[in-house]
Amino acid sequence: MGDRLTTVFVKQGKYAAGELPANFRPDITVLHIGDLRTYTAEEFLLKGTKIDTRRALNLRYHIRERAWSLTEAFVVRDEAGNPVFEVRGKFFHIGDDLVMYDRYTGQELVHIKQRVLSLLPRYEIYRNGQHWASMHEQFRLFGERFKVEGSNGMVFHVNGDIWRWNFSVSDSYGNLMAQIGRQFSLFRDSYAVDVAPGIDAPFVIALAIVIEMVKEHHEKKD
Amino acid sequence: MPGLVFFIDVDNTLIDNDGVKEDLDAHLQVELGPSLAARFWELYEKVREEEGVVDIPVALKRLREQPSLTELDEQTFLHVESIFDNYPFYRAVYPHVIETLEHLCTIGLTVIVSDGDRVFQAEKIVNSDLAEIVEGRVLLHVHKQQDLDEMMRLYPADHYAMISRRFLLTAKLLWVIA
Repeated sequence: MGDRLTTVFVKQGKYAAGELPANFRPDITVLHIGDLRTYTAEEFLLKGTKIDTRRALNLRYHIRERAWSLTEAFVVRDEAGNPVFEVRGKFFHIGDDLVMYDRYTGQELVHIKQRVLSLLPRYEIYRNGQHWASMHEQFRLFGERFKVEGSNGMVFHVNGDIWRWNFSVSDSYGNLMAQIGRQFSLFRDSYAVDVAPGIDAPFVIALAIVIEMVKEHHEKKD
Repeated sequence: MPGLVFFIDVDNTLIDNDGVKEDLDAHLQVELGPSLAARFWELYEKVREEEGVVDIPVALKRLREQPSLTELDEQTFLHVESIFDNYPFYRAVYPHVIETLEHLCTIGLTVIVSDGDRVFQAEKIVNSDLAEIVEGRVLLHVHKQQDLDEMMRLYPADHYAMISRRFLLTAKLLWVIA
């Protein structure tokens, strides 16, 4: 039914966070009406689960908010809702410790450990058993709150409003690597991590999870 | 027969209608005070319930009829009407709407479909320049089955794309097209 009709849903304004009726599954969902500028006639004609064309530019992952506080293992989903990574960890024991796996191959992708003997939250990120980066929170009222330093000398910047959960990660040349925000997510109680092409997605997702944990540690203290 | 026709909704799709309502309310609060402003919105919802669409002129007419002259003098009422008549809708158009409509025009035929009264809603679509961008293809008062048949008759196409957040309308259209 309805082969001749493509339904397009624009998820902007107050409906952005709302839920669709259970039986309404739009063929195309965009966040802003302006996103339709990039759609071709073929994309409107081709039916099926079509996804924001920005997917061609960015890969988008969805993470349930505070997932790690609800359970000791959770999944990270792709744009279509399929679980792609699994995160298993021990949170709030003696320092957070979490490992992210590839859901399909079971391969360990990222390992994050909190360094406990540290005044401010400090995390070490490992990939393939090698130290990859360290991340720590800084005493800053203004400007950057987190500092992420790669073992290879790269420095990453976290800009934006962490408390409202809307921020970006860029490299030291100012290239935008990823954007993290609730408003990008199509799923309820979730936020999205938009990863730029060619960027190490597991690493960026790990960063987002750590920042969320640090934020939670603060809120617990307050 | 065009290959692709876009039916595009207005409120909260092209125009930030919730923002417009908030702004109108702010004006009404100043002009009428909180109790009459609240009264207006009550009438607005009541009329919408009765007619199935928003009808500003009728809601205004009822507002005029109900309170006594001491509560709402003629001058104030004219101001209120003027707020609706002269609202700058072009400011409430979402970012990149113009470019989007122009783009869609290059790959299909764009048609604006909207429900609401023929005065205020028409004013909204014209004043915001949306009517001009779609070269005047505007259908008002689309919410009934026969309206959908009319839409298909006026704009026959191989394929339709419905850009709307009105689920019921979209569902009906699916039914008609199938």
